[in-house]
Order: sequence, then C-alpha cells, then structure tokens
Amino acid sequence: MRAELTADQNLLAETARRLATDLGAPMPAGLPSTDGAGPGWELAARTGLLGMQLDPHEGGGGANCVDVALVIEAFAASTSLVPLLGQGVLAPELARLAGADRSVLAGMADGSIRAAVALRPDLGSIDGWRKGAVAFDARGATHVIGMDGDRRVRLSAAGGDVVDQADLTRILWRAGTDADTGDVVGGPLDDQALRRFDAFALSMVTADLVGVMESAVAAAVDYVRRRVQFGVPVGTFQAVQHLAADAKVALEAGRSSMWHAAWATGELEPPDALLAARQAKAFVSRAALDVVEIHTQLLGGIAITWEERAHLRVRRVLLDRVVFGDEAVHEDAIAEARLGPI
Amino acid sequence: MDFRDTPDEASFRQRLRAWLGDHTPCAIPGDPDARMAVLHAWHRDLYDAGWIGLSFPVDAGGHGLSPVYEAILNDELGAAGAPPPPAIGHITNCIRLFGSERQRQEFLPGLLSSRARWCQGFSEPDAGSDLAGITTRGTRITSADGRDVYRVDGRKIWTSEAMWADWCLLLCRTEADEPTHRALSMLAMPMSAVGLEARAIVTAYGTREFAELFLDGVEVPVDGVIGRPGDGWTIAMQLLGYERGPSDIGWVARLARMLTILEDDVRSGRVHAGPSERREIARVWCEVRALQCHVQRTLTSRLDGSTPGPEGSIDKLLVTRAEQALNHVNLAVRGATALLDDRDALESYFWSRAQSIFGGTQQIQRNIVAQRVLGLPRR
Repeated sequence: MRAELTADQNLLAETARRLATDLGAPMPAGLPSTDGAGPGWELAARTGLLGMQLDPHEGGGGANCVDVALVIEAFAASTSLVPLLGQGVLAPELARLAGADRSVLAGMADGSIRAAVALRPDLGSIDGWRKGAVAFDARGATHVIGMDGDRRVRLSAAGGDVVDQADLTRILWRAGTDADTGDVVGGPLDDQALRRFDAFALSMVTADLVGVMESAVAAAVDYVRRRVQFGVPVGTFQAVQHLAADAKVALEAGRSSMWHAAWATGELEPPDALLAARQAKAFVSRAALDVVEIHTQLLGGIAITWEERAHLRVRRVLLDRVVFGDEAVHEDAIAEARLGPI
Repeated sequence: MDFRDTPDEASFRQRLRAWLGDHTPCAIPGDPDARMAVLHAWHRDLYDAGWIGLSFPVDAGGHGLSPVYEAILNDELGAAGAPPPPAIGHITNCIRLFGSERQRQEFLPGLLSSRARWCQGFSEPDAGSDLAGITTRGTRITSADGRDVYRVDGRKIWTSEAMWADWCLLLCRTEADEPTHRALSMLAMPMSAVGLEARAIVTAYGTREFAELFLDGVEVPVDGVIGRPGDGWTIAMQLLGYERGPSDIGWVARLARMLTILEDDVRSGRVHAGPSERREIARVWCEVRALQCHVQRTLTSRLDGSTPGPEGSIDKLLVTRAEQALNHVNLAVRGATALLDDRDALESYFWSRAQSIFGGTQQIQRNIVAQRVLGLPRR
C-alpha cells in the first residue's frame, strides 16, 4: 500500500499550479465576456494538458487518472476560466471510451475540437444534445459532445443560449429546439464503459472541488493572520482557529478520498471504481460547501462584496456539487449498492 | 499510488486470516476481572503467534515491518470481531526510544509479550489537556535503607487498566527550579510500591477500565528515570503523536466493524431503515471511508520511519467525527431497541462521546491543527 504521490506527480502538480497561477486567478471585475474563446486555451494545448489521459498515438500524454486529477485540482485552485474539466478532460474521455476515430481524439488533444459536455437539465448525468440539455464548460467551445438514447456518442455543432447561472468562472449553454443532433463518433457504450465514464467524471469534478477548497483555506488563513482587531490578528482567537482547523480537516480528508477515487478509476473494476468515486463526490460535496462557508465567515465583510473573489469560489462549489449528482444522489446510490434495494 | 496490499502485505494478511480462523477468541465477560483475564490471555496468544510488535525494530524485540502491518493486524482483528491488540505502542516507543540499554532489556520483552502489564500516569485532576499543570512531585532523597530514590507524592487520573498493571509510566515534576518544559521526568514505577493506591473509576456506561492513583511517599529508584531527569515533557509530547494516530490503536477497524454490523442488520431486515435512514447510513459510510483513505495516506507518510507530526491531530479529529456520526446513526436506526435490549449500542454511544475528550480533547486537537499545521499565531 502506497497512498502517496510519486515524485513525478508532485512535479506535475507543481507545474500545473504554476501554469494556472501565471494565467492569473480571475477577479470578478475582470471576468471576460461569455462568448469569447477565453484565456489560456492555447497555453493548455501547447503544454499537453488537453486529453492528457489519451494514449500518445491518439495525441495524448498517457497520463493516469491521478495525474489528470492533480492538474484539474491545480487549475480549480485558481478558479481558472480555462474549460479544462469539460473540454480538456471529460470530452476526450467520453470519445475515447466510445472508440472515436483518432482524428477526433487528436483534434481534442491539440485543442482544435473544443467540445462542451451535454448534461441532463438537472446536470446529474451525461445526456444527448437536445432541447433542454445543458452543455457544461462551454467557453469557446466549437462543439458539444453527448450520448444519445442508444448510448451512441455524438459530436454536435456549437449552439444554444448562454445560461444565466451561478458559477461565473464557467459557461453553460442550454440547447434549444434547433440543437444540432450531430454526428455519431462512437459507441454504443456498454454498462462497463458507462460506469467507467461516470467514475472518471465524478473523480474529476471532485478534484475540482478539492482545488477550490485548497484555495479557500489558503485565502482564509492568509487573511486572519493579517487582519487586526482588538489590537491582535484575529487569527489568534481560538474561535477563529477552530473554524480554520475544521476546514483543514475537511480539505485533507477530501483530498485523501479524491486520490483514492482517481486511483480506483484507473485501477479497479468499474463497479468498485464507481463506488469509490461516489464516495469521494458525496463526501467532498458536503466538505467543500462547509469549507467555502467557513472561508466566507473568516474573510468577514469583504467576502460578501462583489469585488472580492470569495464568491467565485462559493459559486464554483455550488455548481460542481450538482454536476454529475450531489451528495444525496450518491448517498442513495451507495445505500442501494451496500444495503440492497429498498 | 496504490491503495491495495503489496504482495508481501497480502500474504501476511492471508496468514493472519488463516490463524484467526483457527483461534476464535472467547466471548468477553462483563465482570471486569474476568474480562481483563480473557483479554490478557488473548494478548499473550497474539504475541506467541508472532503478531505483536510488527512495526518495532528487531533489536527492540519487534519484527521490523512497516506500520502498514499494524494497520492490517487491526483491520483483520476488527473484521473477525476479535478484541484489538494490546495498546502498548506509545509505552513501548517511550522505552525503545528514550530508555537506557538496561531498561530496554528489562522492560521491552515483558511489554511486547503482555507478561508485564503497563499503565500510563500522565493526566491529573488539575492537569488534563494542560499537561504543564502537573503537580505530582518526585523529590530526590536517600531512602531509609540507603538507596537513591524519588519520593513521589500526588494524584493521577484516567489511568487505563491501572487495576491490573504491574508498571506505571509516570510523569511527575522532579526539577523544582526549572520551567515546566524542563521540570518533568518520566519514571518507571512498579505498581506494587508501598504508598500507592489505585481506585477504580466507574464510567458512565458502567465499566471499570479507568482508575485514579493516589501516591503518598512512593519511593521509585532513580534508575527508573526514562531518559534524563527533566526530559519528561519532551518525551510526553513525542508519545502523544503516537497515541493520536488512530491506525496505531485500531479505532478505525472498530468503527468499520460496527458499521458492517449495522449494514448487515438493515440488509437482512432485522432492523428497519427508511429512505432517509438509508441515506444517513450511506453518509456515515462515506465518512468512515474518508477516514480509512486518510489513514492510509498518513501511514504511507510514515513508511520512511519518520515520527508522527502535528498532522496526526487531523486523523484524531476525523476519527472523532466519524465515530460520533456513526453512533448517532446507530441509535437513530435502532430506535428503542438500542435502549431496551441492546447494551452494546449504548456503551458504544458513550464511548463515542469520550472520543472527543481523551487523548487530547477535540478543542486541543483543533488548536494544534490551527497553530502547528496551518501556522496561525498563538496569543
């Protein structure tokens, strides 16, 4: 048993953090328009972060699931605007599992095919690109990738209306009646492949949550060390310290669960991988909301202003929490798996 | 990264399972003396079969394996419903790391084999979380028969299993003129010493594993000091790191076992759980799994032989959270049955409330995480 990152993984995480930091964490006042290509995409493509889990002959980097999770976490820690999660990671994974043509995979890996991911209206799972469906992580997307009723994976032309939604760091589109049904690029997916995709997607959204938690704890700790009231830094007060400690405990337990889920996704049989991923998504969805709420409390009044980026973290957590199902959805599924049908 | 057993770990687990299959421990009696007799017999069986001291160095009488093997032992005993291994980790580490060669020779074999039984005398009525408040005093004198001894006077409390112990690892103030961090010493005190009285404390759930020690002119030979006089604080702080690691004590396995029993009862229909209770059980399963994954990470960080740091407090806070959540769900799902016909559920519930008090309260652990892990300033 070795529940730790390799030296290479530590280096990868550090490099990804530096890249994400160089791109800059967005401030609410400086958010770009919802219809542009957005910053950072070329850089992400150039540095091999798109489709990094694909085989080298498919244009990828042969990364394992833990590697990918670390990169997602690093970008989320900067509340990055780069649609790495949807277009850079989930879309190529769906295409790969569907057995899509090399040209599609390579296009996703070189950044020329930018596919947002079609989700059900409740954001709870992958869906076909049809009226009411929501395209996740659509900033600058050229396509939408989804799964139709026959479990075939289709690539549709970009379209739909920008959704007025909670998370300001990512873009969602909603399909109208004129949504392009698209071309079949692979599939149909069997149960195993679909479970594999769900485990992968849950692990990666969980990694995104862990990244946001990480930056929330760092921001709150940094602030309470500097903020002076009653003649002392407020971080000396035990009530403040205990909130910070609770946030740290939630973060580290969440990180451990996320590592396990990402590892399980790559190494275990699909049912076990999916159970591990559900555990991580359920645990971290609760934990992340606790953590960003503690961070809001510790940042005090500035946390509820528009200018401060604290609300960007809260918003991102609220969206991540429901994408591919919130904790209640996964706890019910876990109960079914472990306790049998009701 | 690999959360599975290595081939060596897997074959160890298999051998252990096979041994456990042939060595079903007896039921644990309710009577305190009978209970302790059964537990001691079990501990000696474990030692004789080679399952004790797995992670201790060979020259200390151990097997020189990684701490992962201790976790496997705890897991498998828990899964088999067997009592946990003896909680000798921190006392053994104390003697192994700080004792003289003579003390190592004299004490380690008995500790590991459970032929000599030890208790720990740290807490006092006025020094619980605040160990610096210790007032039990050891005064260096020449005894009536001409030996160099410490004459020890004071009181100790929460001394687990003191009623059956042969030795006590005693923390007391010996250097009267020094500041606390250099004033304490660690003594190996025989429990048969004249002037020492142990009185059982009956817990809220009716058991008697704790005692209070009254020390009135107890004479401890000066060669019973572990380390040097004045090293007591430093030693105690390092030992607490071991005491806080849940993997070292087997709490995690105990929680996993309790949850498995609850799940079995629900699955078989012995206990009814509606949709919201099923969701709560799953939520607690997620908590316990998070704890297990985290403990695996902590164990891995110690594979290089490093001693536990302040991060161990994160593990302690997590195990507290999981245990208290599990016991809430256990009571809720079992309903009146837990109170009418089921002694275990109530005892386990009371234990879960103790979890946030002993071994450093939840509040002290949060202080440690805030100040020593996150680096927030002290007042």
